[in-house]
Amino acid sequence: MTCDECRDHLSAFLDRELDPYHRREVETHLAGCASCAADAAALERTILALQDAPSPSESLLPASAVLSRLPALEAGRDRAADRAAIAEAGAAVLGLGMALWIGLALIPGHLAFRLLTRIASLLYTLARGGMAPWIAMPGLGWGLAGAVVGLLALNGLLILAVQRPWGSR
Amino acid sequence: MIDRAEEAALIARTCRDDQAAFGELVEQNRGAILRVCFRLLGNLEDAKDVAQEAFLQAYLGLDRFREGSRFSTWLYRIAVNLCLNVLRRRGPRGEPLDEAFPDPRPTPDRVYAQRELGRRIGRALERLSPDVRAAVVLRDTMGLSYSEIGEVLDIPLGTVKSRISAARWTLRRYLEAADDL
Repeated sequence: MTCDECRDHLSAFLDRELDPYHRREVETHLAGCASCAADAAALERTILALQDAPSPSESLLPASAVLSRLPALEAGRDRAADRAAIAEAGAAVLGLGMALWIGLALIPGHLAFRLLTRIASLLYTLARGGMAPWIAMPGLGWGLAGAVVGLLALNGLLILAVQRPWGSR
Repeated sequence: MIDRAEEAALIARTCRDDQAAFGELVEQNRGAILRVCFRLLGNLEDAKDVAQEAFLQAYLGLDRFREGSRFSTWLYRIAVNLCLNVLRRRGPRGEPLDEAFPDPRPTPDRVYAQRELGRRIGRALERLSPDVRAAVVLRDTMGLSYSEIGEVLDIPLGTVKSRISAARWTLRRYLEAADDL
């Protein structure tokens, strides 16, 4: 074993974390190399200094300091669960509405079908820079605005129902 | 120090919302977690904050704890990751080290010598990159084996060995230059 190889293994050797083969190799090398033996002694002093360096007493972190924060943590966890429930409920309502609407839109002649073709026509015309569908169907804008307001109101009711901000918790 | 069966029982009780059981787990581990945070951060106030945060994260994530490993090892992992986040936010130059914590053993000469050693070790550790510092602190301050350190830091044994070795050679050069050894 060369001195460089010995240096590479010295730290693990002092920790008794070397496999038996390398351990014997290092022992043999140290027995015949004063320079590496001096390195080993210096490294050992470094380890002892690290081990001896004082650390703060555990009394500086009373368990009560951690436990006193648990109620707020629990409340935060409940709020997070509430938010997740609201998001799930909102997604379910929207998904159901979309599914229903798409289902109806597949029936030719149904209002939803006509609405869908109107929206497709609107998007196509808007993409081309025109506004004719708005003139052709003036109630469509109000209808869409009403749908958005309705969904927001439904979401608000869900939040009130799940979070109960009037303080039943 | 409690055995693994007692530890498992406390964890099971905590999962059933028994906060007293969690209090016992905190009691058993608070000293070690505060020490490792202090050695990594070099600042008592930050160490206390991060140690508390580690316990709270453990409480919230206890259902994710795998029974095959020790609770303390898992807790070290949470605490070390939080410390590494703080160190990365601080950047390479870090903040001034604070070693002025009250020592419960009032023997003036010894206390002075110990505090002086603590200051120098703190400064020396600050020269190491956070990942390398974590490995050597877990070994030399906390006495963990290489395989436990690998588990805490999620790195292979060879990397544990090379990081600890690199850390010690750097510390040795620094401490010898400061005429400490």
